[in-house]
Amino acid sequence: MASVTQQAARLPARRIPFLPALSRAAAVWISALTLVFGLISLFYLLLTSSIATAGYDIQRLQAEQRDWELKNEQLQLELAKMQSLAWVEGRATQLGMRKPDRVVTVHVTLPPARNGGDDGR
Amino acid sequence: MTAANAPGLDASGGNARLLVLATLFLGVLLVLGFRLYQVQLLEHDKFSALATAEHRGTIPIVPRRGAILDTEGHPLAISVLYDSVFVVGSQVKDPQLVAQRLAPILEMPPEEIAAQIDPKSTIPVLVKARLPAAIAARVRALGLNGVFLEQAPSREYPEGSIAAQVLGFVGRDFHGLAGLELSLDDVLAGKQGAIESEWDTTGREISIARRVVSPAVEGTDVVLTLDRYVQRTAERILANAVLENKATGGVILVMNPRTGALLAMAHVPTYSLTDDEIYKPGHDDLYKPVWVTDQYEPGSVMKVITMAAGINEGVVTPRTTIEDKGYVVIDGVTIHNWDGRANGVIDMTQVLVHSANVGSQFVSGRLGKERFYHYLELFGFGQPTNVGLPGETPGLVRDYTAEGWTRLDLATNSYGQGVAVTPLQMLSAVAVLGNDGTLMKPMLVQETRGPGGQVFQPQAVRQVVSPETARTLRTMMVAVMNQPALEQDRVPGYVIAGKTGTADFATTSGYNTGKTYASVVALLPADEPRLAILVRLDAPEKIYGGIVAAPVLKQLVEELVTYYRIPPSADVHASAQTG
Repeated sequence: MASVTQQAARLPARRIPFLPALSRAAAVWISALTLVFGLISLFYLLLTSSIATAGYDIQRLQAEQRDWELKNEQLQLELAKMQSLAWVEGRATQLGMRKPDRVVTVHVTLPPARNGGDDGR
Repeated sequence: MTAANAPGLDASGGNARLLVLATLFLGVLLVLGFRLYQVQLLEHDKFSALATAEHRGTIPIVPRRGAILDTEGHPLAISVLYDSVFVVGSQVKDPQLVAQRLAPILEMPPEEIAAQIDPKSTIPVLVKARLPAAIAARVRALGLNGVFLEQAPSREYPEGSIAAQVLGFVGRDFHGLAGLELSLDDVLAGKQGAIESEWDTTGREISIARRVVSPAVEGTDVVLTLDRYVQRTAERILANAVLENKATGGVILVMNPRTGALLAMAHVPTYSLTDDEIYKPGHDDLYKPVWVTDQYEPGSVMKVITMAAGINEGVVTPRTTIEDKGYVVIDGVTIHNWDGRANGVIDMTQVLVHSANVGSQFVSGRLGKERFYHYLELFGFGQPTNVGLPGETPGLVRDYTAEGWTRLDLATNSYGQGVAVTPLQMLSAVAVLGNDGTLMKPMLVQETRGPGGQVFQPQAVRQVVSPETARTLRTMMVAVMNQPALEQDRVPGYVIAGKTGTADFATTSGYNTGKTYASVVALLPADEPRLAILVRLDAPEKIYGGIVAAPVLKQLVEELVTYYRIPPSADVHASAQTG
């Protein structure tokens, strides 16, 4: 009895087609589709990359905004403190100012207003 | 050759082992299937939430707490964002080096910083809070591992500690704990918002995943009727007066009688808003707005109320006379004048000038119990003013329907004994006489600015007495202030309507005659009052209102007439010119 290997060796040799023969049009289509997919992939990659970059920029700018807001608030507090009565009084005292000993009220009788009013001169 | 024929293999034994194996696999499969059912179906929500929580979360948007401003818009309390520096010990490679580098920037000893760095700890520890922006920038620039900054709001008081008991303060959660910060917390706090976001596997936020779920609503600014200058002046004068008179405390209230707007609310003792830790356990009494929470017996100041009721009802006129023997017997009990003196035949103006208890009980007697207590109610006693401060008491008026009430109560109540009022009630009642007889609702907030902000208008509560009665009472009160005993306390050029009062401290076992509330109320200028003032010193060394409170009133009036540019009275001016 012949072995399986011996039987197989006696079979006629046959060409197994690896790829079907392509027409020129099909080859162009496949190339075009590959190019389009490639471009789309590249575009997508660029898009996501730029979105990610923009995201980090947003984060950085938001942090910067928060810092400026913080500085602004602190400066407003400084301003309010420097306009406080205690600060003004302290500074006035440093400059040698003092409260008046007495207040004199002067009563002034104004002439009646003229018609036409003031023309600004 | 088949398996059954293979040497060493028994057909029945092989099947049995296969059966066991198959059963084992089936069992495992069933267990896994059940677990899958458990995880995927029964506990789906739990595990789904856990998975989501791994990479998704919510960031709160903390709203800015509204500011509290004085009547001119000067900030009294504002919120400011600060950076705080934290350290996570386990992330710090060299604690000593980190401490050395932070120390000069934070102005702290390196040892103190190093002590806070626990190399095993993964919990952030606060090293220093409220860093100014420039300092925070220097810390950030160091780029130290394990050291990071976090922003947190802080409540700041640019004017210092003025009006501490009015403003109150906030707790660590930034919600009000006392004063207006507490009663207006809903308005000031705003509404927290939320951002939903996602984080990548390294814990970095994916910023494009950010989504505002609910926007924050900023807190509303509150504009008070208080004037920072008047408030500060009142606090300064009161603090000095308490010290000079060796009193345990005191109160000054300044109001615009036409609108009920409160211009100053001072109290001693008070507390500091500028301390790092404002709240100190064991000092709870300090944080109360005592003008509405604490009641006292007003004493002789109440006589103007009794007299106003009597004149308005027509039972007496300023010229009605009585014979004042210095005492009167009611239901077998003898009531004396405060000084025990017999003033002889005196009219109603003299009753106020001499502050005669005998005369005051005469008026309440003529009014009768129904009308007298009706007027106390009309003047606002025994009911809260609803000024908006927390913990307000209505005071205590025991009228003739109360158990144990006697005719003697009608007499003593007429001169301010046996009734308990708050300082604000007392001033509001006196202000009626400065506002043509109309009681105004005391006003502390004039405007809110921000979402839903509004401007509040003065609110007239009711007409209590006629304008004529109010004018008459002011004239009588001018006579009180012009009496020789108060000559030193007059303000040259100004006509002031006022009344002094001295009331013993009420205790559970009667009155402590060694301790008094010495007070004075005033309306100025008397002809067209722009200011209503109450000054009260608690337990001063010299016990009488005319002696200790009237000089304080003078100091305050001198400051206020200049500040408000209130000209001297035309009559006084004319007489000064002609004289």
